[in-house]
Amino acid sequence: MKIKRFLSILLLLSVALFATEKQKLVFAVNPYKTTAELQTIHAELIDYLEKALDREIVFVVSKDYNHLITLMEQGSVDIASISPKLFATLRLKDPAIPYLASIKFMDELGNARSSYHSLIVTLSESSTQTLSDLRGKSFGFTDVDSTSGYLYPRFMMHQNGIDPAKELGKIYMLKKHPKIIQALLEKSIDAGAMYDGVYHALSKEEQDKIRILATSEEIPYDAMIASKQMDKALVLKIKELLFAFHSTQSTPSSIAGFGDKPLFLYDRLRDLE
Amino acid sequence: MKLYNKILFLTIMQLAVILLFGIYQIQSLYLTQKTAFDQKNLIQSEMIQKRFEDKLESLQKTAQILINSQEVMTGIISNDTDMLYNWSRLFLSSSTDKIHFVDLQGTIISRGESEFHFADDASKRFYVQQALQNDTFIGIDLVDGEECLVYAKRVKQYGQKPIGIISVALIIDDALLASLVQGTTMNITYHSEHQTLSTTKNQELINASSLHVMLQAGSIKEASFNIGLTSEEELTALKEARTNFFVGIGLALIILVLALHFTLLKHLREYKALAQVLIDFYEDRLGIKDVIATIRQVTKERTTPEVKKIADALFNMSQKVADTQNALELLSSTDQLTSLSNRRKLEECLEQKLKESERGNLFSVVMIDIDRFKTINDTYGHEIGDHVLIHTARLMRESIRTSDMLGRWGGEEFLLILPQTSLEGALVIAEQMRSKIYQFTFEHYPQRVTMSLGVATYHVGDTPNSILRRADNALYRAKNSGRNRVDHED
Repeated sequence: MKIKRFLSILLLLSVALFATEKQKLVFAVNPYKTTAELQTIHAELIDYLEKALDREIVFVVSKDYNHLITLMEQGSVDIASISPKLFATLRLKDPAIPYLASIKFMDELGNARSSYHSLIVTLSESSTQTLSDLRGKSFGFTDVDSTSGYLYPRFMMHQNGIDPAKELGKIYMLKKHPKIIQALLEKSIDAGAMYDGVYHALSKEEQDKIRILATSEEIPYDAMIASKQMDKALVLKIKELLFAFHSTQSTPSSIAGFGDKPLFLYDRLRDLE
Repeated sequence: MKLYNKILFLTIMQLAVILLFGIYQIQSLYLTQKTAFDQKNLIQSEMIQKRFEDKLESLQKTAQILINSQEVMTGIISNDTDMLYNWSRLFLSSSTDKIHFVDLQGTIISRGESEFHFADDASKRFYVQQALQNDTFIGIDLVDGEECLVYAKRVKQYGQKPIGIISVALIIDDALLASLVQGTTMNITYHSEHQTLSTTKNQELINASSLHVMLQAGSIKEASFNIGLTSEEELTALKEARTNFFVGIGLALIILVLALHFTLLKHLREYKALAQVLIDFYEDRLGIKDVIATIRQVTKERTTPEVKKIADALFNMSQKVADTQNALELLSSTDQLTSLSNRRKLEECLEQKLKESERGNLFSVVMIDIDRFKTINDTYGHEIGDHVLIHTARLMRESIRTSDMLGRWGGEEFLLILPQTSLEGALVIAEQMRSKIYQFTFEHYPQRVTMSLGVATYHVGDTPNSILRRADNALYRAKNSGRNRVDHED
C-alpha cells in the first residue's frame, strides 16, 4: 500500500510538473490495456494532434479507472479518453464536463464503429426461443463491470420481467466475451451475454449455430473529454481536429476516427446497475 | 591297495577338493550378488513408494494452495469460471492432470484442463459425495470417465462455512506408471475392475508386491498397484554362470578321471606285460631266448620312456643271463683237458641220434683208444701223457666233419659219433684218423702214438649200450689183433 501511495504521489507530481508548462497538453487514458499497447493505439492520434496544435502532448495512463476521474477533477489532465460508464458517472458529478467526441474503433471486420450492442445468445438448437425461456437456465456473463457482458443483459432481462439474480439457473462469470460462444458450443451454459463484435467476427457456419435472443440499444464507445479549466477556443479546436481525424491504420481495436453521440446514451448506462 | 586305485583315489580326492572349493566360491559370489540384487530391489521399491507418496502429497499441496487463495474462494462463491480456470491453469502439471471446482450442489464451476467445459453435475461422483460429507477424500475414483488418483477437499469460507469443493486429480495411465518406475529396473501394474495397465508387455511380475498406500476406499473396486520385476536377468546370468561352472567342473572331473584311468591302464599294462615275461621265465614257460625275443619286441614297440628304459635293462640282463647259461652249458659238456665234449655230452648226443634214427637217419660210432697209454704215463709222466691226449684230440678234431661229434669217453678212450654215415664211411674216417695220429710227431713225446678203433653202425632197436658194446667189441678185436688198427662189428 505504501508503494502504491508513493507511486500515486509521484505520478501526480509529474503530471503537475507537465501542467506547469503551458506549451504541453496532458492526455490521459484508462488502463484497459498495458501502457505499451495503449501508447501504440494512441500514437497516430497524438502525433496528429501535436502537429495540428503545435504543442507537445504528454501521454498518461491512469493508475485505475477512478483515478482518471480524480485527475480530471484536479485539473491535472487536459484531455482524456474515458470509458462510457465512467463518463456517465463523471457526468453525474459534473454535468458540465466538456464532451469532445466518441471514439470510433476498428472492429474485427475492418469497420470503424463508434458504438456497439450487447447480445443475449443461445444455441440455435436450443429450446430457448425468448428471454422468458431463460428462467431456470444456466447463464454466462463476462464480468460484473462489463457493460455489454453484464449490465445491459441484466437490464434487458429486467425489462422482460426476469430477475436474473433469482430466476436464472446457475450463473457463471467467464470474463472474456469470446468465451461465451465457446462455452455455449461446449454446452456448458444454456445462454450467455456478450458484445456484438464477437458474433460478427464468427464465420457464417458458426453464426448459424448461434441464436440471438435479444439485442441491446446502441452503446457508445469511450468518450473524449476536456478539462473544464481548458480554454474554450482550444477545446473547440481540438473537437474539430478530432472529427477531422481519420486513421490510416486498419488493425482491429485501433482508433479509426471520432464521431458525435447523444449524451443520453452515456447517461443511460447509469440506470443499468 | 593297488597302485591304480591309489593314484585314482588321490587324484579324485584332489579334484573333488578343487571342485568343492570352486562350488563354495561361486556359491558365495552368487549369494553376495543375490543379496545386493535384493537390496537394490528393496531400495527401488522404496523409491517407487516414495514417488507415489510424493504424487499424492503434490495433489494435496496443490489443493491446499488453491483453498488458501481468497480469489479462488471468491471465484467459487461467484461462479467465476474464468478466474478459477486461470488459477487452476497455474497448477496443472505432470503431477496434476485435473483441477475441478465444484459447488455445494455438486455442479462443476470450472475445469483447469478444459476451459469451456463446466456446469455439469458431479454430485453422484463418489469422491464429491465423500468430500461434501467427510471434508476430505483421497483415493482412486473415476473423474470424467478416467480412473484417477483424486484428492478432494471441502472449501470453507472463513474456515467455517462450506462453499464448495476442490478436486485435484492425476490420471492413472501408462505415463503415470512409467514416471513411477523411471530409472529403475522395476515394473508396475495397475489393476481395477475397469482396466489393467502395466509398464511391461504381457509379462508377469516376479516377486510382485503391493504399493503400501493410504487410500480411502473409492468407487473403483479391486484397485491396486503392484510392483515387481519382469525378469531377473542379472540373477539369471549369475545362475547360468554358476550352472555352467558346475557343469564345466563336473565334465572336467569326468574327463580327467577317464584320462587318468586310461593313462594308468596303458602304463600298468606295459609293466604288467614285462612282469608276466619274468614270471613265465622263472616258471619255465619261457626260455631265456624267448624272454629276450619278447623284451626286444617290447622295446621296438611305441611305449613310454619309463617302460622302455626298464625293458632295455631287462633285455641287457637277459642277454647276460643267456651268455652265462651258455657258458655253463659249455662247461658242463666239455672235457677240460682236451676241450672235446665230455662223456655226458656224448651220451646226450647218442640218445639224440638214436631218436633221430627212428625216423630213418642212420649213424655210426667209433670207439677209440690210445694204445699203451699207461706206459706213456708211467714212462714219461702224466704231463707228457696229458700232452699226448691234448694233441691227439686236436688232430682227431681236425680230421672230422662239422656234423660229427667227438668226445672223451674216459681216460685215453674217445667216442666219435658220425651222423648219416654208413659202416663203410665210418671205417674210412676211422682209418684216416688212425693214420694221421700215427704219422704225427709229438713235440714232447719222442715215440709214435698209435690208436685202436672199433666201428659200429646203427641197427634197428639199438640202445646206447648195445651199439657201444658192439663198438667196444670191435675195439677189443683191434687191440687183440696187434693194435694200431681199425676193426668193425661183425
